[in-house]
Amino acid sequence: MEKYVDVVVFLVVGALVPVIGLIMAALIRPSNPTSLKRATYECGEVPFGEGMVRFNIRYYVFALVFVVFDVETVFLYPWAVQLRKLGMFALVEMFIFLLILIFGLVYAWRKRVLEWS
Amino acid sequence: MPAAAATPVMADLRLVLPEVILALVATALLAGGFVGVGKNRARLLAGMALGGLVVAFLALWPGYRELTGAEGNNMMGLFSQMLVADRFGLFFRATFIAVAAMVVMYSTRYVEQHNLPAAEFYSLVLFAAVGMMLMAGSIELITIYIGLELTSISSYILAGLMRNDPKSNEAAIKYFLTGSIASAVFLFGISLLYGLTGTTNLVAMWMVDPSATAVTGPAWNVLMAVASVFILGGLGFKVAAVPFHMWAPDTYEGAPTPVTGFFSVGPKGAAFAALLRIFPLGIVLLSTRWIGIMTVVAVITMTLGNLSALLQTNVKRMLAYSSIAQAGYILVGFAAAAGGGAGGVMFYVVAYAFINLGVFAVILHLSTHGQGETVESFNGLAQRSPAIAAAMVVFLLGLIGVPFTSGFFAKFYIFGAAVNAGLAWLAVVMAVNSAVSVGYYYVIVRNMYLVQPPEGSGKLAVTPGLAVTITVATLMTLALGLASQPVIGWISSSAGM
Repeated sequence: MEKYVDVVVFLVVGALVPVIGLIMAALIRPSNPTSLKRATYECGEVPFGEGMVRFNIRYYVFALVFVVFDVETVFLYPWAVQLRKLGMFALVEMFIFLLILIFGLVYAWRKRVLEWS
Repeated sequence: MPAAAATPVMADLRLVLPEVILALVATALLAGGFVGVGKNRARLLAGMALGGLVVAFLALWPGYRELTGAEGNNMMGLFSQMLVADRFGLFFRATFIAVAAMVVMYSTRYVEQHNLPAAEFYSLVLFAAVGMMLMAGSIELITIYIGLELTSISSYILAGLMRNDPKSNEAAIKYFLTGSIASAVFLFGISLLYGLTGTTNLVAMWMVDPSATAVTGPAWNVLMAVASVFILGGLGFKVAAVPFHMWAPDTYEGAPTPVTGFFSVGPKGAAFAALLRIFPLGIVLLSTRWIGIMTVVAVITMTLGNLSALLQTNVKRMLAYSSIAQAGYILVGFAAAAGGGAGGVMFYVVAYAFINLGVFAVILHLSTHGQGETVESFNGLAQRSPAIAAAMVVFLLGLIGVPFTSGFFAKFYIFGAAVNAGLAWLAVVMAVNSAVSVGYYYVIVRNMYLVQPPEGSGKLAVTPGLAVTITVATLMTLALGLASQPVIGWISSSAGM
């Protein structure tokens, strides 16, 4: 049970850090709001329309294709580090894995999910 | 062992060859969607899928030889125990390949008529079949989960393949949202089991001593019951057991009809296989709380399924509730695990698979002529397609559980197990429910034989794919009812009966 005390301490400290930070900042900082500082994007982009709009479904497909390759990296990294130990079998296995992923990309490409219009 | 000369991985690969073949064919089918293959693309892809399934079925042979040979093994762990080759798994894997093959055969005309994307359709059926086979062929909870996800994700897309039909979209979204939650719940159950026993391997769990784990005593019992509820909830969703059945009627109604037929036997059968692995053959030594839960779930599932089916006029909706009721009967086998219910469940799953695919083939026969949505579309089928009407009667008798059909023995074994396990009252509930089910199955028989066909309707032509499927389903229903000995023998050597 003592092991879980660490978890509780971690949770409490984790919750307190941002709260303390915000309170400290509110106490210390000078209050000087100008219209420029209150803008949504400080980079100067002027926002238009509502924030609650429907996003084009295509963003989702792009995200999906991206995630595929993101996850691929997760597998490739430990594989690359341990390749010497794993030997020829792992090499072949990883290339089969890559081939399947590349086929997925080709499929998406041919199904025109990468074209915007 | 004869395979000792080969490297271990290659020897293991030989025993999962069916899965490898199906995965490769499924991938190749996807490519068939955009590679130029001429005018008969859909038919060609169906042939390719069917060919792949036949080859995969033949590729079960090395596993069969290994398990039945002179130095026959009971259970061989493959790939560091991530998969196993055993009689139980082989039984279900063979069943699932047969199911997928029948689905491919009876779908061809529907896919062409409704302009479904053929490449994706057949590919997803095959991927789902691979997932189902992985679920049945593993004693490792992680692999079972991956198999479940492969089956589920393929199923979600299959349900929504009619992209311009709002009902199909609704079916897919409902199935996806509720299914994802069910998968998460199942995974949480696995994590609890892992936390309690320190392993995700079901065979390793047999060796766990409940008095020597981190959690013991009452806490162990409570947490085991919670884990059981979560796992039952996750897989209970797949078998549409009450109270996890709400998605089924809408999804069954909205999904393309051949897909509905597939859902009612494929992913469902795989979930039953996984439930068998996890409960009666898995954690039964560690906890028996799940037996009581299964009993309650079985009773409300069959009762609610049957009573709701009585009120339906849409055939697919009625069959959805009928399929919920059938799941209830099968769950009795789990509640009666102590009386040999596991074997009864195995027989029920294979018997029900052929019967229900037969029923859906008949509905697809009507649907090729623009009918098959309501029970009225069966009017006078005995005059319009006499042979098919007769086959339908066999299937419906099988669903009721009349002697000389496989459905009778399926119910008989589960019935016997319930009595053996001292749950005679549960057997009575099951018998009463079967009697109630006659009410809605009979409506179809009456419409086929006693109601005149609509004015000006002649004989209905049958497509070859449907003719073959209906013939195979009828023969299997009768064969398993009249000569079930070989199947029973195999089952008793794999699960005990």
